[in-house]
Amino acid sequence: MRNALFCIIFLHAVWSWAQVADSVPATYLQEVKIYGIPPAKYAAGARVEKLQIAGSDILLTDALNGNSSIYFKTYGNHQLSTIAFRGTSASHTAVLWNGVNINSPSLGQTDFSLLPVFLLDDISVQFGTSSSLYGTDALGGSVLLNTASPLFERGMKFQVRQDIGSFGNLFSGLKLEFSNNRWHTRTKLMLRSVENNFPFTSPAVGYEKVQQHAAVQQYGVDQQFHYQFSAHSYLSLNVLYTYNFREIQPVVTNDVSDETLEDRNTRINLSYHGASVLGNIYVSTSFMDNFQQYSISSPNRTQQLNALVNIDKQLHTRTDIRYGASATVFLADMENYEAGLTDTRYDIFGSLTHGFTSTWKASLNLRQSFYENYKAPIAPSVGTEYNWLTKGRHVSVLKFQASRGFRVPTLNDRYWRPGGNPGLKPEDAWHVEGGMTWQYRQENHIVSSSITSYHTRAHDWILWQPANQGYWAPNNLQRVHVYGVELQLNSTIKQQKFSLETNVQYSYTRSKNKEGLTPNDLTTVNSQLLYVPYHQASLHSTANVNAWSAGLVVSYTGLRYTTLDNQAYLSLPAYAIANLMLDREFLWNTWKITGRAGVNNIFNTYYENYMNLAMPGRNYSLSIILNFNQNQIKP
Amino acid sequence: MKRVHVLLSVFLLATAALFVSSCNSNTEEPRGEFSSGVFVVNEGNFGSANGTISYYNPVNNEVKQDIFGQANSGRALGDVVQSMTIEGDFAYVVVNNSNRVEVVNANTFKSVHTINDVKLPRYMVTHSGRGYVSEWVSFSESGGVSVINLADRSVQQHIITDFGAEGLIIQNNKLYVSNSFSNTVSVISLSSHEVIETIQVGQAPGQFVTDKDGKIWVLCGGSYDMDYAPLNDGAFYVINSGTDEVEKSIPLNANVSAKTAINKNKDIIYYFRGKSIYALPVTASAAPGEALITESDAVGFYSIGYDDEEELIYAGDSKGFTASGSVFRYHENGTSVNYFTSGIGPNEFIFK
Repeated sequence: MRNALFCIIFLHAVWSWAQVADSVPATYLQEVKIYGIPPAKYAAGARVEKLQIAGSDILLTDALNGNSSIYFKTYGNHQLSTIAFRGTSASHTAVLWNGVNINSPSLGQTDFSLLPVFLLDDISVQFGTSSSLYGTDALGGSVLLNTASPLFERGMKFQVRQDIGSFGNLFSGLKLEFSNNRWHTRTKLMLRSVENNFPFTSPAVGYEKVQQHAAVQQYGVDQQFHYQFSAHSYLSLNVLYTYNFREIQPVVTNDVSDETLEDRNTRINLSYHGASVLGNIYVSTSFMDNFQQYSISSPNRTQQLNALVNIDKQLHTRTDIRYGASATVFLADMENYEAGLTDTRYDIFGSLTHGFTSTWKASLNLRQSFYENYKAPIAPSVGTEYNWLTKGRHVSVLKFQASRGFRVPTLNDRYWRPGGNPGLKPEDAWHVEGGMTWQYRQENHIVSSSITSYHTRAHDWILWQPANQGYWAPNNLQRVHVYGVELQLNSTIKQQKFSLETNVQYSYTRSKNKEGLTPNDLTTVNSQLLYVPYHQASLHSTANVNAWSAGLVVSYTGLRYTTLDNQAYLSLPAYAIANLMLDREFLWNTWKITGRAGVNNIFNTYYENYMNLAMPGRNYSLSIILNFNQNQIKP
Repeated sequence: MKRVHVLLSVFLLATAALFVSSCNSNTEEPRGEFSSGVFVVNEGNFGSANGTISYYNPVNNEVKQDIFGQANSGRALGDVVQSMTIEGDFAYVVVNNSNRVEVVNANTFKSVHTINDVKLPRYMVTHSGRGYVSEWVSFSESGGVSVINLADRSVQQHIITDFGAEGLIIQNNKLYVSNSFSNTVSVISLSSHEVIETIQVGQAPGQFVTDKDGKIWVLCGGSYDMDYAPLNDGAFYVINSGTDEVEKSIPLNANVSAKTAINKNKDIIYYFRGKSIYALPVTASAAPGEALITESDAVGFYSIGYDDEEELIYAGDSKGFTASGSVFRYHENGTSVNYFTSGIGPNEFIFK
């Protein structure tokens, strides 16, 4: 279904990026009522995008895949998906849920296929290094998942959706919201099964085969209770639970496998938002439980308890400050760790944003992270935005930011037996980024575009290598220089009964390894990091006529090397895929019914995002979505 | 040089064959570009099916990567290419995590047949028209040896040994099988195809070599304690193939790779640990104090071999499986000859 319907998400994404592009501030946005932690407020100069795709049946992998600066190493359809954001590796993207890093404490990375978009409210992406705002791991970028602010006195609404697609794809989803003057509850339930018995013809095999042993079952629930004490304060409880069981897809050459992976993730967040003389106070406590079982081996379990306090105050009309602290305790029950392992981390942080004039603003952020007996490098960032042009129909903004990022060694890096090295230094990175946005507005036509360029220099990257003792051990060995350019062009034509929206993106990413594997090794110096395409591009286009809409998505992924010495014969070739989708809306009373049909990978392209793991060819999908009282509560 | 001589003979034979075949309406093929040289078996990344065979020509230092893919329109051998055995005109490539033995023409590397009825196979030896393939079978069951009829390539019989059946060697009409998840060597009679003896050796026994006196040496890698700390109990065990008893053992005071090689005179055994190679004379009673070679240009060795023809040591560096491997060549005294690039995770050398 993922493939079956990911055009829909792309369509949503088109809209969302369009909206973001639309809202590129001529002057910075006037915050009306800020609760929680708005990602962009203190991120002047950074590229931040919000995806408005809540309710889609897809995985977070596919929601983000529409962005040309992100590459996912997907180990098959609905299989393990790890991110490479702006040319970095999987553990260099911070993934935060309600302000708390949810990267696996043991591996330091997120399997994005375990996060169904249907259960999430707000999804934002910040590009580039931003440890000053988000702490550890925020080197290539950050993915911010937040519970949407509650809305009271809106009554009841619900949504039911059913999707069916090729190769045994089934998705059922239910959303129910209710609110009165005190309470707002949101309930989301989803159930997915994927057979993944698609045919494929891989050059490594030479003839057509049907994928075996790649079925996935997934279900999840997101339950929220919000209670309002007054117009300025409320308490929220959010429980997000996901279950995923997959047969691990074997490589194309293999016919049988018995490997399976079961994941159960529980995430609970209790938070209080309130206004006081100090400013807007946000206090939360979170609990995460990650359970994972590979085949029949003994399960791995990590837990995480976090307390966070954040105070945000407007000092003057154009000056805001923010400060706070967080503490996290990790508990791990892993066969290869010492029994009863615990680990702690503390963060203190502060931010200042100031508008010098109505067209020029800057922000400054600072964070210090402590873990066990070590200190992470102090992480500052400065950023500025200058609206240099507002003339007639043209608006243009210049952006710049500089920041430092770090990554605290994971529990595996420090405690894995044998080999774990408690003395590892944190990874350290310096980052600069500049760009410009430009927008042209006519009554019925908006064109916006942006160009962004960045450089990140990282050192002390942790690399596991064979050690003399016969096992593997991590060391702070690698130095990496990542730079690139991102281009974006968006056009929206809106007329009374017709609209056409087109979004084109292109990214060039150069991710240079700067340190040979041995002192005299030159074969890997200045080589491109593994699984980082130099070129990625996409086109998303949606046309609406009355109640009909049609969408086209074309995406291009360049060649990817799978060895650090960039051997061509071991690389994955470039590919392009195209998806089409048709959508019809019916309105009746307070009901809105949407019917969708999609065809994905129209040209039946064989492609891989991880070496020798097949992805589906042409496939179809049908969806029906029933909304009741949709307009009562905006998501 | 014998190799030059061989090449010359091959050339002459090929010319003769060409001449004959031109008379015989082109029915006979030339022997192929891989009729002599060094083959490197590259394991590849686990779960990526990118294991390959590299070909190295010591005469002109030419290297060809992925010769199986080249000869078979880009086909992959499979996942975890473990070893290769040449018998006659055929090479048998054992692909561990794809549960198969790929049979190829040993001179052209064109695929001939795939043997699928094996489970996690490791190594293969041949004897009077039969192939014997060691198999792990699974991580929770005893491993064993499958007997293959090389004429029709069918699996005739499976002989259960012990956990993690690994190394194989034939001596005195007996097949010795090291059981690497255990501490035993199983002895199988080649007449009855039954296990006739189980010999206790050190922990994690791997490869065998036979010395000049016909003694069988098995290298045991060593083990870890409950807290995964190495017990540094790697050791050589020397088996008398007449009595099937352990004659001596030499503790190596370290955990080592269980891969080993012996020189042409069969009196010096090589083993490695990290990026150091050790030379152990067969007459020794204790491990050498110092390494013969410590290679600063290696990340960590993953394989070792010995070319009798040029009398050189070959050692493969896996580079931690992140880049193509390197193969280093040394003289017996440890001085470097040269190195060349292999595929991912050079695992074994075959000298033809």
